[in-house]
Amino acid sequence: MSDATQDALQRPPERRSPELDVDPYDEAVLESPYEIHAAIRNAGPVVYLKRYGVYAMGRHRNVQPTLRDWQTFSSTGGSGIADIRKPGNWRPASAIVEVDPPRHTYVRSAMQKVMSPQLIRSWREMFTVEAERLVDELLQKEVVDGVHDLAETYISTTFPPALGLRDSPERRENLFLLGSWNFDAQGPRNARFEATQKQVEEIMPWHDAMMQRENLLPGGFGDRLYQAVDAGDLEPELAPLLVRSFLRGGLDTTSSSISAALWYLSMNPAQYAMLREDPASRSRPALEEAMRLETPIQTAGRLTVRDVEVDGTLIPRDSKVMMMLASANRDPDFWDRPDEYDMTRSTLGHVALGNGIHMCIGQMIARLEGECLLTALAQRVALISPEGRPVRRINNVLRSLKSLPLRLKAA
Amino acid sequence: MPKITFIAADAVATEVQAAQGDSVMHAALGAHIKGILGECGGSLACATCHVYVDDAWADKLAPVSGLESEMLDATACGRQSNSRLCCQIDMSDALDGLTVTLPQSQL
Repeated sequence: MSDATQDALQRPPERRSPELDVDPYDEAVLESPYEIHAAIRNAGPVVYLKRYGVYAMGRHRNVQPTLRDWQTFSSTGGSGIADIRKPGNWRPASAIVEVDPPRHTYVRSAMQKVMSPQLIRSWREMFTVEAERLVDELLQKEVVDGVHDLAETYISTTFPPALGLRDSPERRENLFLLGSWNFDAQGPRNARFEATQKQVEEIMPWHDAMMQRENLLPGGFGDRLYQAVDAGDLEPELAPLLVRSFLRGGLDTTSSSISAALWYLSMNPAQYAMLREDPASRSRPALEEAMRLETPIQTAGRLTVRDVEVDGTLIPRDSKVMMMLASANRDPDFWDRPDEYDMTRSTLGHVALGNGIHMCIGQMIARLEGECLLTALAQRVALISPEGRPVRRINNVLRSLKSLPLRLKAA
Repeated sequence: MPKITFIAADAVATEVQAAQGDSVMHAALGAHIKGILGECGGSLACATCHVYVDDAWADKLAPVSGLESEMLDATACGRQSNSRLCCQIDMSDALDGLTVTLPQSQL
């Protein structure tokens, strides 16, 4: 064991983190993690996950301030479970996620300037047109798959054009595979990751070509990044990297949130009725509450830059600490009726998008995507009901549905 | 407990009691002030807590940071010289009586 862990074990027991032998990456746990999350919360403010040699926090009262305290909890060790500074790390650091200020401030400001709320607002019409077209088409079928037919189709037709990616027959499948790989790679180097890695190797040439300027359509987010390079506002090497970040951060996460919203609405007809009453005010909260409950990105890693005390427990410096975001989002000490879907509650404080300086830079895009889709649905569909059991897609870090059979009743 | 007056776009004024150290955005959300969204919860990521600060108060506030200024360029309604993102304004007794006007829309 490391010196740091050795020191930690010399400490008086009441200041040491309890050790847990759980495996958060076990398939059954990924299928249904809530028992493990409760066990982590109940064990203490900080626990030590023996199998992986990392610390973890599950309580909202600790997770949220930790996300805000970038000075103590650095992102330079990687946002996943691995310490990316160590030799043998199998992936390069993200140019925006896995850096601290001042470097982070520069990169984020440059990306934020390009991904401005004005630009995002300009996509509203395109998102609305596609949402309405798709819902009308699906109403011909009555029984649809909320994931494949609705959420993923909608995201596949709206998100890539916003980026400026040329269409191609393999685009949709490749983009979702890249997303799966990105999030499996944030977990341990287990069999699951290795399997996704093998699949992704075949599409890497397509992936690399996609980031290049000549393959990005004019006016899209990608092209605008390159324009920022021309204007001297962005380092040239960053443009393809930020195109990649945009893609990896924004496709499966948003799709997962929308699928989850459909699932919760199908199980709660009274909630769906409320959405129908006032989609203009309720479509965004309807998505936000689904984000809280599903928490597409389940965990985020930080590295302690010094010894730090968290509610009386000491974490040694140079330790990887996993923020259990999904656990914080259902912590009964913070949320009233935490497991209940309620679009009228205040979701302020949810950490599905993170918090602090690294909080999701694409959140306004996600919300606009959700608003347009749920509004189109609310206007055209009288009722959404479950038509069979949903099936989950199992990934080391990304939580999402794979199949959600739904019956749509026309208004 | 310092007070904030929110003047909505339709000129209706609402007075809210804030806790010491609470941001104006938090106070607004706690009082269910329509017209402040604060979607990112104060992370300077959404520009939906835009307010126009009454001239009497403008120079009593902490200055606009670089990042706040960039986000102010992205608000739904036009940026004016007295524009602020109210998640960046922390209440204290020195700001008791702060008055802000809300824009037509945050989105």
